[in-house]
Amino acid sequence: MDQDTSRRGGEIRGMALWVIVGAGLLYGVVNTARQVVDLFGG
Amino acid sequence: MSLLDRDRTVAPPGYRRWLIPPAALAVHLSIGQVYAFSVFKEPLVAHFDTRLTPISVIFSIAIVMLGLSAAFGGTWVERSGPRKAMFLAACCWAVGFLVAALGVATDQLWLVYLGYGVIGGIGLGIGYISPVSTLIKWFPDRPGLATGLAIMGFGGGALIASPLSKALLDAYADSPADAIAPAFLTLGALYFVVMMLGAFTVRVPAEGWRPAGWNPDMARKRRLVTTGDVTAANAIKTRQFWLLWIVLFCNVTAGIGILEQASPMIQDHFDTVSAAAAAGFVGLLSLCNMSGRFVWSSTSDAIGRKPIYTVYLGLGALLYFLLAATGTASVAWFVLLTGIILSFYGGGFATVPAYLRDLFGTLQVGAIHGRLLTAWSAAGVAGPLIVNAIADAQTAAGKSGADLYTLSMYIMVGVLLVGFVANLLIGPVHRRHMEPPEGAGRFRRDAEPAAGGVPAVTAERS
Repeated sequence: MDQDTSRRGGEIRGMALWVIVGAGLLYGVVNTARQVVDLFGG
Repeated sequence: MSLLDRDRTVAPPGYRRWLIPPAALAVHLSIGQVYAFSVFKEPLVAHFDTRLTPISVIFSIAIVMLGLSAAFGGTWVERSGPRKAMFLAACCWAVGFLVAALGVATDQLWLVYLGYGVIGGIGLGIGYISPVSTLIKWFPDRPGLATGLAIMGFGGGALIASPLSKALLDAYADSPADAIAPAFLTLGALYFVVMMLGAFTVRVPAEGWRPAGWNPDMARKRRLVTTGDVTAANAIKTRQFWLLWIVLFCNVTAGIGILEQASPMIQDHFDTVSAAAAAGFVGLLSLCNMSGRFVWSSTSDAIGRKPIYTVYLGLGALLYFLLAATGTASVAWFVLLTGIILSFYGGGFATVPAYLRDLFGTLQVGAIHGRLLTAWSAAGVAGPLIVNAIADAQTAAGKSGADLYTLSMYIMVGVLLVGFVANLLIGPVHRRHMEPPEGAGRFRRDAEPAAGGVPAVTAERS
């Protein structure tokens, strides 16, 4: 595997991981926000 | 040569460093599930038909194993590189869930201790420290931001795991007590995949790599930032290491005191707060804990590590005092004070690797970080012990409501002030503890021709 292929593969995995962890964090924050509404009587 | 070897993870020239943080986040978001373990407490109590204490032991074992494996495995992690360490962490974390599920399915609580507590706890410790030194090497210009981003994941893991675990417990059986084993298996499989993605994405920079346009001499102008490298074995012989141990211990003790009792604490302070609203308070504190890790740690890159800890500990003590004296004024005021205190708690965790880098250099910063995390294990015992013991004593004395916590809060003010003084006493590490240039070279296993955006820079840390 040459260096270009290695770099491209790493970059695709890196960007895919940004999407996965971003989606996970969004899921967690939205669920927490729903609970916080209860705290202030929403 | 194995795919997991450090030599196979050296980034090719031109590799973009911003693709490294999600690999670290994937690991930290997965192991951060441990902060949501409380979701399983009641179902486990019902399943094993036991009391809360034997179930709480599972979490305690996991946290103790985290500290021990980080302390004893730190040097191995440093030597083996982040990919092998993340791989091991993923295996331990997933196998931990598997063995715990077996324990639940066969009604053997000791298997849950062994699985989630011991094996999973090793995965926690190795996973926690695995990306730290790699990130610091990729972001020598912004180490606080880089480690804050990763360690933010550990705080954020509970935000994902808590609703996900509840959804799994509801989906697999009519009673949550009967759904624990399949829920553990699902979580183990999911986290294994995500952590493996992280392991096979992480790369280490080539020896001598540095970001384009970054001048290392600028970073060394601060008095505390070292120009040398200290090994982990030598670091623990320095005054600075133990002062920082006290700083971390005090900061964590104060934060964990609130975190562990958050739900009953707000309900005891305000009759109007229901159990559902208290859950919202716990969620909000998790958000503050998570965001504090990123925001305050990034801020430390601009103002310095010692000044930011002066804020965490000094302002934290003042806020704790206000909480004790005026916390019952209103729900919003109580939430504001505790939210800021918890953001400092998270910030303290996230900034400490960068503080260690400043004091001891990058050579074995991951291993030194691992040893420092024993302060976390100790604080994990001390913080809840102080709050729970005093609340029990106050209840026995006939007190109730906010009075149960007032004395604990004043004690926490004192604890934070001890940490404040310890931080003030931290000075630069003496040169006699540092490795000579040829000595530092002995420990660098990834010596490769420099690659990337700028020409090679030979190590000149002497």
